[in-house]
Amino acid sequence: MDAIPLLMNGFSQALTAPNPLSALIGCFLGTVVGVLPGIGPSTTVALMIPISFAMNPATALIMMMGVYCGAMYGGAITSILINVPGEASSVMTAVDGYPLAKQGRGGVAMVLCQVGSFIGGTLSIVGLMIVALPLANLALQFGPAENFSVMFFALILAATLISESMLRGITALILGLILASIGTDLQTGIGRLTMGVPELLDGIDNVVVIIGVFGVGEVLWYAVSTYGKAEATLERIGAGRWIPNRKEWRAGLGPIFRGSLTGFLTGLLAAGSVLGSFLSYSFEKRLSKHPEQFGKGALEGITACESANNASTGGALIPLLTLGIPHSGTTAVLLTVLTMYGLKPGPQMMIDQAPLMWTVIASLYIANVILIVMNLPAVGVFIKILDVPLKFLMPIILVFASVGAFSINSSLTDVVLVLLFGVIGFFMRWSGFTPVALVLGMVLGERLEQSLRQALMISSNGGLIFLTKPISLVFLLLTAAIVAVDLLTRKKGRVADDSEG
Amino acid sequence: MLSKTFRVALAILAATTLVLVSEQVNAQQAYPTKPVQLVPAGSPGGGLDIHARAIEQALTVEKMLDKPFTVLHKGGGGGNLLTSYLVNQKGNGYVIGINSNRVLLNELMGTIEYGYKDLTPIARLTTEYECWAVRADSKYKTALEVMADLKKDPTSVTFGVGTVPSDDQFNILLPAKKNGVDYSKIKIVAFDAGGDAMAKLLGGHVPVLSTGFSEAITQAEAGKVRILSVSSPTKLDRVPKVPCWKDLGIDVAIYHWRGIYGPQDMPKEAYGYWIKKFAALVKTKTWKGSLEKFELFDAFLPGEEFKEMLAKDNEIYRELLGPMGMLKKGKK
Amino acid sequence: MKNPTNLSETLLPALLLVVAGLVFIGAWRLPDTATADLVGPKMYPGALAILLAFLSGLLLMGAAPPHGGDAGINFPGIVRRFLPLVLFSTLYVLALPLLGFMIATTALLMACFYLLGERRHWLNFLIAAGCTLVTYLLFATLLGIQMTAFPG
Repeated sequence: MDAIPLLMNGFSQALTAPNPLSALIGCFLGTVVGVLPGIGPSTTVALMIPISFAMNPATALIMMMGVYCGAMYGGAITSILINVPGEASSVMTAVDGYPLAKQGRGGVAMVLCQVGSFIGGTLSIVGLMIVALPLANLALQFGPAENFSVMFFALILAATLISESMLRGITALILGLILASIGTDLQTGIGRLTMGVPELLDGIDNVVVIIGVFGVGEVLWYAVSTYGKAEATLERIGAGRWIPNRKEWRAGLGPIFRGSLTGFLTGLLAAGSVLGSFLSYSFEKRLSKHPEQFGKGALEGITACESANNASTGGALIPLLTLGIPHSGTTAVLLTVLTMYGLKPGPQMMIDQAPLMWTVIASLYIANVILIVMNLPAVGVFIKILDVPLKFLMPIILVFASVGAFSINSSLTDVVLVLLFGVIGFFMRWSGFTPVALVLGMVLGERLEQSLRQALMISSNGGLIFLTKPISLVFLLLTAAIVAVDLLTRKKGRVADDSEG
Repeated sequence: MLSKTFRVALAILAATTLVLVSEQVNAQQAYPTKPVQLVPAGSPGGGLDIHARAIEQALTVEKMLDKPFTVLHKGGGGGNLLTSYLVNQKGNGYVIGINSNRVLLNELMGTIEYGYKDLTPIARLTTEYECWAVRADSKYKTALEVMADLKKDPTSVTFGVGTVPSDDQFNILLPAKKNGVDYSKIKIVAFDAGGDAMAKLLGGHVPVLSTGFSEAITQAEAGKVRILSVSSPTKLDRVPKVPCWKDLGIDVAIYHWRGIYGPQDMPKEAYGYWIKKFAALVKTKTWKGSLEKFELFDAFLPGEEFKEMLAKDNEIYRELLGPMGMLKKGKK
Repeated sequence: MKNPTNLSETLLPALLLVVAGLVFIGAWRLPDTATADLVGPKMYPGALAILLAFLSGLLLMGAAPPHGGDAGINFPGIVRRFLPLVLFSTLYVLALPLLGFMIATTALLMACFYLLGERRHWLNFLIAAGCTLVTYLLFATLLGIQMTAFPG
């Protein structure tokens, strides 16, 4: 491999003016996009297309890579501070991050998330350089049957995320799966359960449900639960400290490395960043000696989740760079950009366009460095948000959630939906349902159904296809093993639950 | 005094009339007098957005833009959001939209009650062509071998496509129908967008892919896939050895076109202006450069001809989708 | 009616039972396709609806251990806080296209601040207007989201 000289050349290109500046702008913009709920990295990159006409390809691509990485870093911040995950991949960060903020450890959580993001992001680029080709071939092995089994595995594994009553959790999960089936059916083009609303033909955006259930739901919950309490008028969360102590570092680091690996591998699959964050969170909860703390402020959960969604960036770029095949989302827009510059994206791109491609890879390293340097001090600024009295902060969250929902498709329908899901989130919480289960069903649901139907159409022997394909079989066996272990240790778990109240 | 006031009033009245008349004359002389909204039925970064950007770019570079465009995205609803937007703009000459044959399909399938008759077709601009592709190590060397298998048993070959309904799908249904295959039984599996379908072909999960030529050509040039047929009326320059359907004795050509629509009853001068403008646009060098970059082909058809083509395609789709149960009830 | 705990156990399952029914009807009314996709668009949402109906039925019958409600949530709170917030938000969505972002958002924020116990109107106005402006700058100016700032 003569990767090292190519990479060095890439670095020297990426560090030639004006490229560092464009990386800086991209990282800043990406962080903003990640912090703000709603508009995601793929839309932002697409909006940059007209501007990028005026730049040379390397400069434009470097800026876009900055946006892509930056959005993943930024996602953690609002999740932790105000319980509003900006992207689907930071849901699990909100689940533990917001309770941490309430305990006065929001700053610690943010610092560890940024470090986790940096390690996850950087390791995944190393992975991208070393094992891109074999992994690209592995990614191709994932057909509909394999995808279904992975989704099924993730759903069962994530049942551990349901902290209270299993029956309520599964009900919420089913509701999420139903929500995911709203919209145009991929296999037949028929609009399902749209109630005559044309906007619903595209389905309900995951982010709208997430912002609604978490963000708006929390606002409603705060407003109702503080009614009639005099002291509530002065209440604020309070910034607290933001430098992690040694124990916190130790708690966070293991999950970061495990999360990076999970995220990198799931990044190869479509919807990888979401899948990676859910899976790595579930792994950590299972590995943990104190699983009952998950959902109430476990540092392991958020660092695993954040390193996983950053590590997915490297994994997701592998099919694009080595095969010229994008997943949907940001990599698909990047493909358009490459085409626009006349680069003919395809399997030959790494060879025909080697200098440019290595510049892009080098710029990923640079983006990660810029982001950690930029964001660590920013934690000290962001944390001040927690000093704002809640009676002011909560309505502002409401506005942010509404505008964020609007920004996704510039559609008022999404604003209505976000408020509706806020109400649903409030009632779910009041009735002891886990909103996470709903979101999980929602984000994995569409792929679960479509891969099931795709696999059954392709199969010549019906449902047996899930058992005859080796990768699919492995995941199904793993699922069975997890269920078996859970059943055996059930009694122990129940005692723990009871003791908690 | 009275007469003086009267005279002043008269003067003002006359002046106002003059201004109004001259403004009207002005308007007739030079449409457009204000920026025109260009509305792609897709989100930023998608194919229709690229068309909007390419139109804007070519007109700007060639200094043919009389008033600037404001680009407004009406992605979503499978193109329905654009259609209902245009329907609400009835009579407005300052809005034009870009969409594909989804205008026809959505009405037929009943996801919207409006169709091409509720819009003013201005021009068909570009087309892509479809192709059949197999993995390089596939047993199929020609499209006719696939067709022979389909004739024996329509369920024997599984096809991958991007979405349904789409030209990817019609590129299977129409040739099969012409060959007397029971096309509603053919296994056509939709994957998310073109890239995903290509990954499933390369991974060996589906034996044949019907997809856009631009999706397959780079893979073919890298020796990963073999293109069996193209849907163009004649062979394509870039793959001179690959037959089109007509070469194989199947009288079918499939255009994955994009066109410009205006609202119903748009003013005549606006309609005429845009037909002329687009006729000139497609001859420019900048436009041709954009087409080449994106593997697009010129398919310019002005107003009335475009409308006739829509009417004809509408009937073809109706006949094709009816037996599959995909039409809205009452549309059969 | 003083203790809403019982309602919190039954309200959502009852609603979900209704949702399940509606989803089932919605799925049932989808056209039958005669394609090679044997599962079809109906079966999956239909099956989920039946499952949801079954589970919410179980919950209504008290199959899950009671979760005990939440002490902080009471009826006066729901009437005096929840309903007004939902009303404000609805008015906000209706007002956005008419009044533009600046006026509608400032008004929403001021109303919410007042509801949550801050009675100094001048302070509410300053914070509301400031936050509205910052939000607008972030989304409209920096990210280029097209929003109408003012009517007309």
